[in-house]
Amino acid sequence: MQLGCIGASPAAGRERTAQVFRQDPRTAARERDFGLRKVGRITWRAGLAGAACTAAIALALGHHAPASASTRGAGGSAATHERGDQGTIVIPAQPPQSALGSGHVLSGGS
Amino acid sequence: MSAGTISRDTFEVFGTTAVLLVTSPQAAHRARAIADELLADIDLAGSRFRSDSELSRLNEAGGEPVEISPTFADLLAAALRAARLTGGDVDPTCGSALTAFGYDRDFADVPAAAHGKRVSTVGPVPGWRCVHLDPGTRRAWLEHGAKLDLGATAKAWAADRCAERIAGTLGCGVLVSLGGDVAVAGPPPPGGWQVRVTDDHSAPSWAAGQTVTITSGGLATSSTTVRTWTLGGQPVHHIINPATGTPAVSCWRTVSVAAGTCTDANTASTAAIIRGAAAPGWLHDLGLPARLVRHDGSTVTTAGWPGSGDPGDAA
Repeated sequence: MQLGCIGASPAAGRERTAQVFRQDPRTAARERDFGLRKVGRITWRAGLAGAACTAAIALALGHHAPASASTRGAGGSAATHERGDQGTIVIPAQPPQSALGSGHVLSGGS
Repeated sequence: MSAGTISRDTFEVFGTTAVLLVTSPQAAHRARAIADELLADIDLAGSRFRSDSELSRLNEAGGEPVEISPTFADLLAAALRAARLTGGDVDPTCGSALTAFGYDRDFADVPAAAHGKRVSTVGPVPGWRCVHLDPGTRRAWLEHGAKLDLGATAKAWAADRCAERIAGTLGCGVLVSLGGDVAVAGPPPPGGWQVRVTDDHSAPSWAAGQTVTITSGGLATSSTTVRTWTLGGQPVHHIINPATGTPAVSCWRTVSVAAGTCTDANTASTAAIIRGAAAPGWLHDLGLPARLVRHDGSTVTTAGWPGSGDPGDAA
């Protein structure tokens, strides 16, 4: 016999449990354990499905992640990666400094 | 060491102007020889306008795997890395789009050849995920009719390699500029390498812009004001938005970025043109110092790019 808690109204479920308990407390305990195992299985499967969905989304959108990451270039105080790091755009060891004059070279579009 | 001891060599390569500076004048000849050898190797690997290049062979392979050289494998890897790091904003599969807009030969011949032509049907480019590189077997192949153009990364990558190789071999400070994509390596001169950022790398040295110094890494500038031509009565330029397959429409005319390498600087400056209004926030989040110039000449800077110290500086 099943308690029928799932899919039935809570009030009806409680009434049936009370009836069964009055008839045979051991049967009621077995039914309760069965119900708890069933709820546990459903919870476990829902968790697995959630993890699978998370992994699928991460795989689909993972290529966006490196776009927001950077690391300091060779010589920088925070340098932990080699020059030309594969996973990030490498920031300069030092930012450019202001200077006067026309410069050694020009950097412009080409 | 005074600035007077810096040796300067200027020459033409990849359809643009190269500048090679070394802090040891006696090393200048050997530095040039190293650069010539590397650049010839890279040109043979990655030129879109040479029928004997590996890139042309791959573009014409009809999707079949092609065995490639270590140099071309590295060039391709750099282009794919740029695409990945920019979410596809810098995409190596813009070859067909550029051809559709008339950029199908050395740029010097494009304006005349495009005269009287109209643009053919365009759409989003096939995308960098259509490009496959197996570094283990050194084979590459393209899907969905993708055609490569490595213009967004090849010059900067070449500048990095030249600077690295020359400094490593000769032990001097070196600056390599390929069409304004600047890479430096080795000990810099006192005060650092002075670079003036402008719209056009071939402008006169007093052109409007800003002068900054760098001591390592690279600095690159992308601009929609150069490498322009007219097609069907409309002005077009060479920076393709992969999402549309057409020249990028941007609120920025020019973007300069400093980074740990010239390749990364050029990747970011090109992506910034394409990202438009979202670019300053993106560059800020990445910690990349940058200078973005609007069409009216006003500027925005990010992540430690210095203010102008020279009253003569202007965009």
